[in-house]
Amino acid sequence: MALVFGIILIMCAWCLFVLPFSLVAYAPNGWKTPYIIACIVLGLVLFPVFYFWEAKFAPVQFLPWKYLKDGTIVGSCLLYGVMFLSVFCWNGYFNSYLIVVHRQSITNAGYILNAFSLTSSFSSPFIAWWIRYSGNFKWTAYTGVPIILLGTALLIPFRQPSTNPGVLALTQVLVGLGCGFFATCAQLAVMVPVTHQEVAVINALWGLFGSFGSSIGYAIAGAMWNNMLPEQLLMRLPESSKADYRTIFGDIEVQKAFLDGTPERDAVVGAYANVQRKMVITGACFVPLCLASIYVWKNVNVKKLEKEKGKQTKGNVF
Amino acid sequence: MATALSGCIPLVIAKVIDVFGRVEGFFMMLIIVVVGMALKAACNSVQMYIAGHVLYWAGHIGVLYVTDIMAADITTLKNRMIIFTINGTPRIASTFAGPRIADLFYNENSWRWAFGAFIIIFIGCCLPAMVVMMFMYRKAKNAGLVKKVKSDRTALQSIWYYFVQFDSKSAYH
Repeated sequence: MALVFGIILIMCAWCLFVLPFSLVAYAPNGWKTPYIIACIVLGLVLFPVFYFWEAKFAPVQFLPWKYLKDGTIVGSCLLYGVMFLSVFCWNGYFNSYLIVVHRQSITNAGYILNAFSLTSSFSSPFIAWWIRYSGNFKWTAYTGVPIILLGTALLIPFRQPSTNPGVLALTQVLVGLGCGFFATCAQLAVMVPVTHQEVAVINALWGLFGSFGSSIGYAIAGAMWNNMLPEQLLMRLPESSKADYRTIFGDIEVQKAFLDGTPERDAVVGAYANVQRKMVITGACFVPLCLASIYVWKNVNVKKLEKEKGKQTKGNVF
Repeated sequence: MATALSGCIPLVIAKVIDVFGRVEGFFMMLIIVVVGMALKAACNSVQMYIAGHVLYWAGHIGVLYVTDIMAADITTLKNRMIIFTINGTPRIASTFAGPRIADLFYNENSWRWAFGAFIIIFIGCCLPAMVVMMFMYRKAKNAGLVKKVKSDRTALQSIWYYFVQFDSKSAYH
């Protein structure tokens, strides 16, 4: 029961804090709406409550705190979280951006977006093979940093309607490759310092950081999109259609329907490009944090480790 | 909600599979997935759909997590990531096939049967894995690797035993 209470506490805190950022655009009075304020305050208050519950009262601790003192474990958990944080800062609304600004069909936009997860699943076995071959995972993880930075930052110059969609797919491939490097190395790094008995719980902790990272990323993206885009639209739209800016913001079909060359189309493209630029810059700003979280890893060579200390698992293993 | 849940679920499962065992944990997660999908297939309201989805998602994350841990159990550190990442490659097929199948179900059949069909497919795909696990477990038992401790506990005492086990295990972690 104690376990369940802790879980409910942290989940409530999390949902209450994160939800308002995407709900605010639909609230009647924006940030001043009472329930938006209540959600954020309650969510924030529940975090210390959770901490005190865990530290002082809980007979059973839900989070395995003792692992959070090891640099390699904290680093790789953070890397996994920050990686999702950086990607989901812009990825969540990339789909509508492709459909509206680049006039891609829904299927094509889906393919471009999926280039990201495809590349990461396809490339990660090869990265894993390289780790087996070299035994080194810290420098392999460093390799991912410039790749992911390039993939994210290239979206800044390429956010014109004239850009070839193939180039956009290429940026997705780059980001996917970078994430493949990060996820593979981080998951190995988190398992290196612990014994075989602790592998299960440490993997769970690692996954928790990933999901925290992605929900913060979505919240940032939602907050930027829902607060900046209506403003930008209102600023850029011609006088005749300024009154409809809410409808235009809410309906992707309306956004698509404007013909090229009309001032409305220019306004929509301009607003999308402006907000997308800010989102991508935010995403790119998180990449140095990845670098920092890899920096705290201990540089262990897995091959040498197994030669010196013996294998982690015994018996008939692969 | 689903993402927050998916982060917390493995921590609970980690304790469950340490106390009860990998195979039992896998089986439990399978049941949760099936119940969740059945709820989704039969739902008449949004609330019921959400309840089904939360259950389904919890089980889905759980099944993936248990298979990962089993893979970690049988590999050395050096080779572990190869197996982990190969485990992830079916996503390449599902990215292409998923939307097409969803489209076909939506146009040719009903969405209810989309969930219904996948209950059957899912169980069908898990059965071979389950059979292999049971077979290996018996093999280990025959080889004398598993020592069955005869317990004199009554049902109530057993429940208490697992309750305490959970707490002590978690406190240890």
